[in-house]
Amino acid sequence: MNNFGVIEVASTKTRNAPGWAYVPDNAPNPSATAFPTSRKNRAARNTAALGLSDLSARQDAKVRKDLEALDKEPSTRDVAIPARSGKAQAKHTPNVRKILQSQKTFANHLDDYIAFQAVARDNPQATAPWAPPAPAATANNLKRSTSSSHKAKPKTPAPPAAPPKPEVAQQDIDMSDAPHHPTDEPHLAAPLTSYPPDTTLLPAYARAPPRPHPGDADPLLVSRAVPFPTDAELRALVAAPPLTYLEARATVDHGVVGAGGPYPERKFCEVCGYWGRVKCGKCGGRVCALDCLETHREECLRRYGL
Amino acid sequence: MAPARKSRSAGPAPPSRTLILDNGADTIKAGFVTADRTDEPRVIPNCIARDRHRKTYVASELEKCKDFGEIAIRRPVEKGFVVNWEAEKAIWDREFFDEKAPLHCDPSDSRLILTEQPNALPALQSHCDQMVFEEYGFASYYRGVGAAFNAYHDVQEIFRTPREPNATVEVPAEVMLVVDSGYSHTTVTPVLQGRPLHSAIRRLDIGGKLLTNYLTRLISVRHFDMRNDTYIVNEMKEAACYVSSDFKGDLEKTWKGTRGERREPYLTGGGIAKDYILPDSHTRFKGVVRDYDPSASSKARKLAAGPASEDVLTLRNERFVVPEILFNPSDIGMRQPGLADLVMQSLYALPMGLWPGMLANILVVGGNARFDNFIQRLQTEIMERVPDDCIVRVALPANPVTSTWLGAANFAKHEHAERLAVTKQEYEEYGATWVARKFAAGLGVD
Repeated sequence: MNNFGVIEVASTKTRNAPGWAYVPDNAPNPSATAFPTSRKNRAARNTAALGLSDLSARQDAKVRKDLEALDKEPSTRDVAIPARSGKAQAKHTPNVRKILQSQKTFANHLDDYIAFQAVARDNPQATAPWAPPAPAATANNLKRSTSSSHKAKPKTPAPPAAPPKPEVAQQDIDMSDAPHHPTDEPHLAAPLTSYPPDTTLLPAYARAPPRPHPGDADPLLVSRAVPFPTDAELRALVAAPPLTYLEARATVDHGVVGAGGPYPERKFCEVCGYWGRVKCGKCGGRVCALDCLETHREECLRRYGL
Repeated sequence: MAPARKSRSAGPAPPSRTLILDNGADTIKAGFVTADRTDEPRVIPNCIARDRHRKTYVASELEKCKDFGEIAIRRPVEKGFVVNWEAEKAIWDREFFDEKAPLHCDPSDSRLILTEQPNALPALQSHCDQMVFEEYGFASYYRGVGAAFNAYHDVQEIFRTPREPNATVEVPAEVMLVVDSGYSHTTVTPVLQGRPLHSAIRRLDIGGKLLTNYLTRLISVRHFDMRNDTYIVNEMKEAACYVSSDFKGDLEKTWKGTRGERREPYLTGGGIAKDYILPDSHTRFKGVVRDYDPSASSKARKLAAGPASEDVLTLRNERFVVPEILFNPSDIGMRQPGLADLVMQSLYALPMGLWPGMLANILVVGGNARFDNFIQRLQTEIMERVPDDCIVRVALPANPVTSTWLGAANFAKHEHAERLAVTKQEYEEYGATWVARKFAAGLGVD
């Protein structure tokens, strides 16, 4: 990307100075790609680095601007909240007053959160203004279990009482086989009487396995199922803490199977929406055929000049 | 658990009524549940709107509005989370807490079950808790991930699984995958026994809002400038858009061809083109979809019929290109995976042993699920991505918009609600941090 002739030399040095710091910025910034509204320049640089080679800087900027516009709330021209007549305003607690008067947007809150995370990484003693639900909360847990609490059992990821049962895995192989014989379903035995039937998180398949078939022993027909996760694994999975807002955002990762895929981006005609088979020489925009190219030329001239 | 529950019942009796709020960015789904009955949820616009005559409508007053041209809408919920409590309070007060409120609620004798989007910012969560207890003073309260409430449905009924007539219904469902495609974004949430598996929740930042904005842009480029009429465009999107199962073929049919070419499917509409009659805000207040009439669009006929009898917009590839970006975000240059890949990314975060269960129980909720052919397309795309042996079932509840609400209503009657809810006393005794942590821990592992 044309960076006004300035060549950036990536450095890994971090210099500390009172109040601020130079931090090497080599990796794409997650917040900037997720919310290009803030830090426009940096976002532009990052997307350019990720971009396909045939995207020119001009197109890249256009795509980014378009996406920003699409993400915007439509037509929120200042609508005032109607004043409530009659009843006098009730007293609010200080917390509530602060919340009501806050004019922060979601982007502001997100930036706050990112900033806090950065601070917490450098300085683990810092406490958040809202005290995030961190796993290290023994003091409060203790208080909870000693005082009158309804949740007496402290949460432990894997209680020793439930060792991985081999028969769980065994039974569940049957479970994944069952749908192959849907006609056998009505023959299934009595329903469960109690729920949950045992202490495992995902109880074993308790009903009768499907009717035996003469081909069951045939080595050619044997189907293999992946081993079912053990109870301990499931418990760890359930107890996993939530990801942060930015971590949960799915990203295209070309190295991972099923994460975006190796297919190239599809290009569409900017005028009529058909396949973009022709590229405008001036701006790189795509059009389908001559008719649309002419329409595009007018637009292109108006925007970029001759 | 038994002694714990006993100590609980020794305290104050649980409130008689439960108010369930599914506080979406576009609409609030709200209603009461008592021990023996569940009311139908009301769907309330979650916005404050002002029309071109400078009249302001709060929430359900919007029903009285007739002219949606150039309406300005302010929403307290951004990206699925309540951000502006000032506006949200005005809406809640109007709907629930004023004397004349349509769903009048006495917080001191009610439990509130509030849905939230996954991966919320802790600051916003704590704002929410503080408002519920300090401003409204609900007696009891639970805030949980909206998608997970869908597990409290009789899920196999939705999937029409053949089973014995007198089989007991196990609630919550053991394993399911909820795809929630709403106004702000689309999330994929695997749910195990009613517990969302947080490490595998994935989000695609495309929702109904972005689709409407995209349709607005397409129409503004090709037909009229409708950038100030997104409300009307949204109605158009809901009425006319569909998910294509043969994108290439449909695109071919709607192409007008190169210069001088007269393509048969284009002239006749090819079964895809539809006319949308725009509201004129004098005689017609709601747009109407009509089959494409090739004769009406000819210039001569239009002139003969006199000037502007009605504004007709012919929708061709706009009808399926717009929902298509949910499946191919790269079409608009967005660097996120499509919906099927999103499901796969979520599955890759889980042990493979859970895949068969998840894939056979994919439930799609949220407003975007109402696009025609949505679940069929999703099912086909997922089937292309998983081994042949896997059974993939994608289902749509009877009403995808209120599905989460109804699930939460079932949850309110389940003993889990008793276990999870926090009382006002507990909030005052242990503080907001404790409440936040308790909600984050959810049902736990026992």
